[in-house]
Amino acid sequence: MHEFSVVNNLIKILEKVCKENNAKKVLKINLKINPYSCLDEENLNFVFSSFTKDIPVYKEAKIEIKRTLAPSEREYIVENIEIEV
Amino acid sequence: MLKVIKIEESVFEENEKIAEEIRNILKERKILSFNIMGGPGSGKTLFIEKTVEILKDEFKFGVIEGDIEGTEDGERIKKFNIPVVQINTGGACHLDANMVKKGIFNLPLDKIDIIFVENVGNLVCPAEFDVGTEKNIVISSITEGNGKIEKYPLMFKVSDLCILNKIDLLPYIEFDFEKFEKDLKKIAPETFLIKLSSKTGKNFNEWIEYLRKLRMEKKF
Repeated sequence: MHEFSVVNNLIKILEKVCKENNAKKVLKINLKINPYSCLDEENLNFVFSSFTKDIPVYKEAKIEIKRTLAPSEREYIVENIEIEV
Repeated sequence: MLKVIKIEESVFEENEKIAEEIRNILKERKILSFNIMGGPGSGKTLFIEKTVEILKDEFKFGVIEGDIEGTEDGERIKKFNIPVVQINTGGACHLDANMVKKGIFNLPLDKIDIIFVENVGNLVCPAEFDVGTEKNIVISSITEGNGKIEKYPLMFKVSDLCILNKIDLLPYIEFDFEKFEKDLKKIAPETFLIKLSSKTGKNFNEWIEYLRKLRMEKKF
């Protein structure tokens, strides 16, 4: 259930990026996590779309998870965000 | 037009900042702190109770109890006349650094040597959140079966110490210690293992010595 905390914090980062870049749409969020992290891509996308269903800018957004040895076992790093401006 | 914005920022950056803040606050006051994690019923509360019972004349303790609902665990600890803060997460499956920070400031820090933070009973989510303690402990019990390390690797990886509890029940339960040790060595080679029973006190002294040594080494 920690997907809620991940999505909640992710939205804070997205809001800042969208504002700074005048984004029309968020298309993709590339997330880098440790191979041992208990986070599932499908589940995370489900939680994300439930959280953001009434916000048009996030309508097409998809989160893609890349499992790699992050600097710390607990870190979920947002590598980059693809937006339409 | 498509634009790729480079971020390279941790989703939990805010949590990590608060966790570091807690660590500094506790270090300044020379307080040693432990985050006690483990599945429901693994014996986290009894482990804390036994430790306090044995060492209450040697060290001053403070406890933060994290549960989704209820105050039963907090009440159990209060019997020892030590400061306890009960945190009810109201649904959240883990404690985060912000919740623990509030708990820390509700403890009389000037009168405490060691803090135990008992996390919500869960082998998944608590492993993902740094709560700002000096050390992490996972309590696993032989009644949970043999496969816990393979199934919940992150929990064992982030823990400095693994307590394998309820070894007094071995005559009644099939448990392969060799497999458990092999799994731990493979997945979390830096995690130290102590096998004990909080109920009967068997091998409990190994943990007590570990705790005393840690306090001396850290010059707390």
